[in-house]
Amino acid sequence: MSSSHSPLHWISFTILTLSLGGVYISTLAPGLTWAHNGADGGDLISAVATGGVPHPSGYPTYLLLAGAFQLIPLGSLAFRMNLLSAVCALAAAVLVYLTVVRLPFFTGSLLWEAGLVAALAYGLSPLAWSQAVITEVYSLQALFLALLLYLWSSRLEDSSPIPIRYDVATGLVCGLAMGNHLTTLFILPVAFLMGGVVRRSNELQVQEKMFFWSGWNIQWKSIGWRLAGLVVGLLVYITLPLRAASNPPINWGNPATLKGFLWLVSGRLYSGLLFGVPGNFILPRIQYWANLLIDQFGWVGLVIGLYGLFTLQGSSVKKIYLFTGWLFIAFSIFSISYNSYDSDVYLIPAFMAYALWVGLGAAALIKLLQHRKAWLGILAGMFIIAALVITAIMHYPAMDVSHDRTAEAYGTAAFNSTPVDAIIFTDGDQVTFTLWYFRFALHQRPDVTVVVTGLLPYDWYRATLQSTYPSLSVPGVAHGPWEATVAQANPGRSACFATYQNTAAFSCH
Amino acid sequence: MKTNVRFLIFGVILACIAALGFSHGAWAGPLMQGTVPSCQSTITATGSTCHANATGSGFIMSDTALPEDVFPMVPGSLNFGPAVDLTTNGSLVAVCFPDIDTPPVGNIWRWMTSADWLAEYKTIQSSQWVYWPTYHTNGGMTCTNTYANGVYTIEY
Repeated sequence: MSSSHSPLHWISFTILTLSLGGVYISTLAPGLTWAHNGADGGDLISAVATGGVPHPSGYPTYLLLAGAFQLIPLGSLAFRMNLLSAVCALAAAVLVYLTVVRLPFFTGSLLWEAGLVAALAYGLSPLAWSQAVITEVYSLQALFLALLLYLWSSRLEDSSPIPIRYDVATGLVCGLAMGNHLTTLFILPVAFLMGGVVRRSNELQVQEKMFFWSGWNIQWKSIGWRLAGLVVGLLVYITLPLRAASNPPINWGNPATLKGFLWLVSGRLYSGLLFGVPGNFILPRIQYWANLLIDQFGWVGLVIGLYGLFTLQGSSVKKIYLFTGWLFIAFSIFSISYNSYDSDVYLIPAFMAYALWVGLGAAALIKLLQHRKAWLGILAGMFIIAALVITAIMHYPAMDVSHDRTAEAYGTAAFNSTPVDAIIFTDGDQVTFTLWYFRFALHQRPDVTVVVTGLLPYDWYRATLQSTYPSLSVPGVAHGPWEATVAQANPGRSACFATYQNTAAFSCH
Repeated sequence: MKTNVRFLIFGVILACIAALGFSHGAWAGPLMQGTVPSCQSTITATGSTCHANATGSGFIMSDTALPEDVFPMVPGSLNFGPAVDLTTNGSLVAVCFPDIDTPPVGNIWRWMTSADWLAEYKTIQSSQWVYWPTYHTNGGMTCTNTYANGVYTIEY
């Protein structure tokens, strides 16, 4: 009986799925939430509900999947999309388990122990957990990465010609992941190089090859199929101009035009944030990064992960550490240097890589101890899993947003106190997207006009305002502050101000 | 690589992570941008607070001003609190401070004798103090706009 069909494997698989699924569901936000830097949720939910286009880079893959989840007759629209995150996060953790289980380093019970440790280390890490219980794109992004790891693990020690279906699947996953988040760009090099460039020692088993440099061959056919899959996956971007063409109320950049499309999908709005952290903030961020790393896995997980890194040897081990090492370093550097307050969430791929190391390190340690005394190995495995669970229990209160109603309470209170036909000027992600959710996704207060002050300088936004609110006068040029210009152009209508500065505020004049 | 060397590196990396982790870092700094292209932050200095708001595609970073950049006291002027260097990057940046009418916070420096509020910038490009008109918002803020990228010293 192969290890993947052994009872232990299925017991581990079931324990993992039920325990992580239970944890995510019990801590899931019941509706719209600002928790865990989840302010963008209102934008995403509203864009899906209205057939609109959310903030750059448009997230077409997420929109398609979320559209299907919004059809589930369970809870509010926001709850359904929180559920999507939980399902994606659970699937990602399960794939981490399945990836480790098929690695060729260990045999027997070591496999499922390593898989269980890696999957729990990832699934219960606070960063991944925090995104599993709110509406955001990062759990889906983690799922795509886990899928790539799973695909790739099947080729670790397989020197036979790469099947076309593998190459196409790899490219397709990369393309769909690109349609979900642009940080996939950091994954592409390894996704294409792994198996796409091979040592010449495999020469006899390689069908097509071309000289690259001494000792290496490029598998053009393999890379070609991956590119084909990538292009097919990228076709999801076509949905953005189609959605924009219907003039939805949320239509960032208006990608129905080529200029708007390029502005949106390139994420140009945020290009200044890339490597934009001021010099004096680099060290505090590195310090915080180290703190986060310890926080994700606890001291036991941290040490075990490093232990595996320094003790496991072999060509297959080198390959997996090369792949995951790249993920760890690339996403850490990107996350630290990206000048937004919530860029720590980009560390999820790095921590998924580290979770794999924790699993491998645990297996290496258990194997070492088993050679001395069998019971020592069992004890070590139980100790490591217990340490991860205890760490998770400590994080539970902070992760639990199952009673969080702050955002919805704000939206309800704001709309209840808004005069008839008023214009609400918003400033801040939290209040803006909450009011979009109430106005466009829940269709409340159709008499109220929501104007995002920070977007008024953009032509596409003023055009969207005009098409959404035909009776609103939207000047093309500002004379002084934009909100004052719009307010003056619409005399007789009350002006309200929704702001978020450490706390949400709302006032009307 | 020898086992001893490997474990030495292992120990060094672990010690580095531990040392960094125990020191108190921070992720979010002042004036970091959110999803909507507007950023708000509170800069706290000597008990005064100011509010910097970037609109359009711009963003602002703030640092404590160098001593030579601190606004000179001019007869007939009011000034409140210390100076900060605001680094702006974008087509339109509005810098806002709470109104002087809302004590105890500070405000943009102004001429006592003028009815108009004025912001005073010292730009890196010109190395000169320049005056710029301000406007009031309904939210009790005094703001001034700048349309160029650069580093501005502003006193509040």
